[in-house]
Amino acid sequence: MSALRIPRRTLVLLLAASGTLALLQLSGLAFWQGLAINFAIFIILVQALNMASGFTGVFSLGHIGFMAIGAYTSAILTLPLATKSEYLPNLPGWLAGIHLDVAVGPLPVGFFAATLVAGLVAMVVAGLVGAVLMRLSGHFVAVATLGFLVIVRVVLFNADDITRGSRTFSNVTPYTNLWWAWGWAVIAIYVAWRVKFSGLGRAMFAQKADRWAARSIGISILRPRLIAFVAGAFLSAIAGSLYAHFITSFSPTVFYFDLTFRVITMLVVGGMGSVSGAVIGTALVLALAEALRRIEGATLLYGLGGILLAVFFIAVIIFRPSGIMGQREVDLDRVLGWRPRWRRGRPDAEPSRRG
Amino acid sequence: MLELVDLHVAYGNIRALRGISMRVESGELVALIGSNGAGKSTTLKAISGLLRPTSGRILFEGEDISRASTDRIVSLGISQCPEGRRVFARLTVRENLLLGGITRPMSEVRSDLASTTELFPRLGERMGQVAGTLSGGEQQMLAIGRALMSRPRLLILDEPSLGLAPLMVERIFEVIDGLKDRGLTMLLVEQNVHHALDSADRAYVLETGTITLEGPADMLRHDPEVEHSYLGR
Amino acid sequence: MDVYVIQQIVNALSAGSLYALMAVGLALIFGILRLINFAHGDVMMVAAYLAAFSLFAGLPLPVALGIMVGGTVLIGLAIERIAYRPIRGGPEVAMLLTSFAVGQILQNGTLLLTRLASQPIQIAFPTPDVLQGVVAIGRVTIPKVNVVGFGSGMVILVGVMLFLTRTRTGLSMHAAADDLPAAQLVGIRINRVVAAAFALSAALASVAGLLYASQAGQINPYLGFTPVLKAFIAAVIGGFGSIPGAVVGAYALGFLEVIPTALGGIADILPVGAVSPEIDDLLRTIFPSALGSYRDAIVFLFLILMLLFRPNGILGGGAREDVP
Repeated sequence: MSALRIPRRTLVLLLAASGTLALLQLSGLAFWQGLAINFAIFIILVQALNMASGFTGVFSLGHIGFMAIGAYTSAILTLPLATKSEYLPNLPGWLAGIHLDVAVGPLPVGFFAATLVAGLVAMVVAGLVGAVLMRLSGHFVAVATLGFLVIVRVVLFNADDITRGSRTFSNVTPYTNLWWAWGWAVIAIYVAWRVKFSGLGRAMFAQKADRWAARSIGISILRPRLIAFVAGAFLSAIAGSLYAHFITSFSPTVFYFDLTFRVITMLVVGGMGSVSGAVIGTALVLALAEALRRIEGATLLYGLGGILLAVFFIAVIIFRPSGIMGQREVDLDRVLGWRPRWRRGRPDAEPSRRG
Repeated sequence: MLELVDLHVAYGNIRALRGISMRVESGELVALIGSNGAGKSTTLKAISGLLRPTSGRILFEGEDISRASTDRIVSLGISQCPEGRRVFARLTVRENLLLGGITRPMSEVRSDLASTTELFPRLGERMGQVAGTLSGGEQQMLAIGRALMSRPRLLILDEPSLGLAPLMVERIFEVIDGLKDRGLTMLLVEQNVHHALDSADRAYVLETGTITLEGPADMLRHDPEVEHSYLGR
Repeated sequence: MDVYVIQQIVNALSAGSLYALMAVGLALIFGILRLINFAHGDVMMVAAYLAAFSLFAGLPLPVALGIMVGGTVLIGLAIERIAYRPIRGGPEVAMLLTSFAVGQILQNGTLLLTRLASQPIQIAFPTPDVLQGVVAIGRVTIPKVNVVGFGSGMVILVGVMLFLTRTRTGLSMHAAADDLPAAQLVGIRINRVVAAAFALSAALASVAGLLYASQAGQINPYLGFTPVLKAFIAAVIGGFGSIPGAVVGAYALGFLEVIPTALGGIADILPVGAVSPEIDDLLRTIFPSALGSYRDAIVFLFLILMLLFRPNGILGGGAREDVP
């Protein structure tokens, strides 16, 4: 490939997006800043599940477990030494000595490193768990991954020395801001997009459509499934780290079924297998949930929001089972002004990419 | 007794039946023959209410049953013995037969058990045996027996000889001939065209969703087209 | 020591009955529809609330139980009709997700109603007198609820087995689970059979709800989650979809669960000097007193191993998806 030439349109859009974030940052509108960070974290979670499940058809209910692993790993790693010895006195020695709270100028590189380590830890766990679970089929894999989620929760609750058990884990440094959250969200979208339209992505979709046919033309089933599962675990852990340093105090109860179901709703509404659909679904469900939360607060009818969201979800499954986008995509290349190689001179070469 | 009028059935965009018309008169044995994918199974599914036709009518003794539910169609007197036997493998022979009479009062069903086992003595010996452990031929007997338990006025047999040993095929056709002698009306779908035309009064040939030939079985047996395509002569 | 063993066995049997009542309901519906009905735990939770509010209202016990069973059955039927029937025969995962959503509706609906009734989220369950207190047999004391739970569970399960094997409706359920199109062709009314399966499964869940709430002493809208997962494990142990298997699996799970609790910290229970110091050390290493709190993790690990190596249950053969 010759030198990378970024189209003017991409630059303009990137600048516009950065400008919006900067304005939001300067505005001091705390509610909207928080919502924007939540949006970004959910985008990462939904893209993670999209890769693990939407691309491969292997339904995972365990990825919030990886988010929990990411949140605790990063939170423990970034605790300053002084706080750590007081707060987690029984931490194993090798862990007690690490304190990724360093910064280079205004940049908290320690946080970045801790986030990456959190992602890597989740990947290792996912590799081990996935090598076993990805052999299961259909809804049994869903239940087995749910079992993984329960196991993570039980361990978090009981590993008092490391996680403080059922007590709230607080004192987390609030590193996460609009830039970190959206930086990672853009990376998550980009990674999902590149994977979808790579040879690997085609293998994922092929074994989803027909695993016997995929096998007969030599596509392995376990490998694409496992890679998708592990990549999803990495992104989920990143989202966990961002969440930990955004909310600054949390307990194991957060990382459980309600959050799992919220992420699934976003993905299914957007369209399992669609990268742009995942973003649209996230925005829609987040907005709906936020609106319903306010109605609940105003009317004191707690529970109403959960009911209406679940009804909406069932309606989507009955009346539009493939979600808003199905597996199709908004034509991002056109939006960003790219002329990808595969379409040069063949305007309709990839029908699945048209929105 | 049964009349299909310009019946169309489609799976999505695929048109499986493109306007077929046929009739089965009371007391007749009518054979429906054709190659794989011609639309034979689709026709039977439409008659039994497992598939909804896109247009056309299915008249049973004058009543249009094309929108009726399967259980209603069975109660009206059409019983279908499905392809591949499809006995309830985990239930006993007796339980299979009892379920065959589910649309009728229990007292009548009990007394009918005796007449069915008279027709199939082998089943009578194995009433307590789990159906999944029967041989293929015995399972076919059970499937026919089960279909008879609803006391049908029209019995539909879908590929009754498929996958059976030659001796068992003979036995199945003896049963079919016996039922015919008793005056039972039957519609038979069969890949063993030879046997089917021997037993049948009339026959229809179905190709890619349309009826291409129809007539008395004797005549079709000597039709050069049928001889060439289905009898392998 | 022997007292301890007997108590643990009773605990296992009592938990087994509860899981069996739940697992049979799951297996019934899975057998016919291939649907893992995760809302089943929430149906059980609703039953506990129906019983609690009926008893709060001062209704006599038989009436309260009638309302509990009847109301739960109606809810089960409504769920089937409204949520599951439109997607019947659809992709397995779509059905599973729908059941999650149904569970959310039941949880949030209960939350909403308790709020409207000005009750806190967690309320004390008005355990009926017959389930309160203990039974003493010699030196062994057993909570009454465990005895009644085990006994009534057994009686009900025997009744269900008879219903399923001796009545035409029961046989129709078997037939529909065996071969749905063939069942239709003999004239079985599938809608009615499915509705009957949901009604029966809801009735069983309501009894489980009463037992669970009486044991726990407290109820909240989220109590159904763990029991339904446990019932699922029980059904997997027994071979999913098999009714007798679900019962066997449930009691097996009851015993499996007792093991970490019983062995965890066993060294502390043994009389001083009963074993040599080396063995005492070994016991403390293998069975630390914290083992009991990891019980659920151990049980779910077992589930995953079962799914992998014996997906057709302890009695069935292996049929894991053949992936290279």
